[in-house]
Amino acid sequence: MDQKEHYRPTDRILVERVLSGNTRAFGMIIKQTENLVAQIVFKMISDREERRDLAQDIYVQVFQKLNTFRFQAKLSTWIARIAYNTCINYLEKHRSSPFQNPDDLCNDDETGPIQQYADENDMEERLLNSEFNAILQLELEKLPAIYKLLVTLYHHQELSYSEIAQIVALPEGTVKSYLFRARKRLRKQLEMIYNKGL
Amino acid sequence: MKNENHLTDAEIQQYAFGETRVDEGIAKHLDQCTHCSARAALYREMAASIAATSELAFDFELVPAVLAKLPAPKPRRRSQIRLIVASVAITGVLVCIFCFYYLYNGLLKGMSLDYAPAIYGVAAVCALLFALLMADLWQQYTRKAQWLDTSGILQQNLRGAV
Repeated sequence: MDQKEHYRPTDRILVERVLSGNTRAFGMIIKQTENLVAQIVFKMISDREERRDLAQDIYVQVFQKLNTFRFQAKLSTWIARIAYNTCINYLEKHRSSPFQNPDDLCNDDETGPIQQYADENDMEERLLNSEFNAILQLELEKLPAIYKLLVTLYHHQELSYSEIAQIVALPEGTVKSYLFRARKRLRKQLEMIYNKGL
Repeated sequence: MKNENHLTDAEIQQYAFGETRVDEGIAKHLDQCTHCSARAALYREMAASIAATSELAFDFELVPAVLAKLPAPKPRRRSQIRLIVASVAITGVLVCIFCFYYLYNGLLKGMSLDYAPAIYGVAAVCALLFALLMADLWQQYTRKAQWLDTSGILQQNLRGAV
């Protein structure tokens, strides 16, 4: 392969270039991080136009704050943190809690009736059904924004607990706990849907 | 373990996602218990399904939209400032030498050879300072030249993006 295809400047080089006035380097930073930012914005904000405005605001903020970046985390994590905070501020301004009382929505009681999800063989067959993915996505969208975001960052973006904790400014233990609850809620919803026979 | 000897949900999740070293008892239970193993399978299926989901992406070109919104670039002109400072310093040193020579020309002529080494020493220090400043400038220049060189690759990469 062409050597140039492998060329990818490090965070430090890119930041130095942007701080030297090279806005094209900032374009490269956007290209490298927009997928992660998109996952955050999509999970937090439902309106298309609002997402568009917010995405631009996020990167304008990144540009303005870039001289404060101290390379203590990955640049993508730092930008994701700004994206998350921007979404939170936006939701708070518009009086919509990103948490939507996740504890209320999720009953973590271990003593729930097991027998209602009893037909495991049937469940395994259904797992093979392509509808499973669609239903899962639907149920994922019903979760509180913070749960959706954590599940996406962990299972889709494959970020570590530590990176996620940095982005959402929560302790690692809380991130693990929220993820556990989110997955449990998803699992319960799926079992309920399949046991009701759709 | 809870619920009639079934594993807790936490244990099943930890097993399903390989987050902790699996206890022998848990592994044995999962081998024998269809209920718990089905739950673990469901968790794995959920994770695989989420991981396989196509990435959400903005339906507009973000780079040009953001670049158009950026405030006017305020490049850090550190090297330019250094150049100016160095020029001023060099000029200052030269002016001082000239003034000293002009004002004390007679003194120098009448000065015994004992003072000459001190004068030459001052001149040597000035020359050394001058050399150091020039070296620093050269370093700045080469660094900038390297950046310009790599910018060519950067522009090539961005051609499709911007």
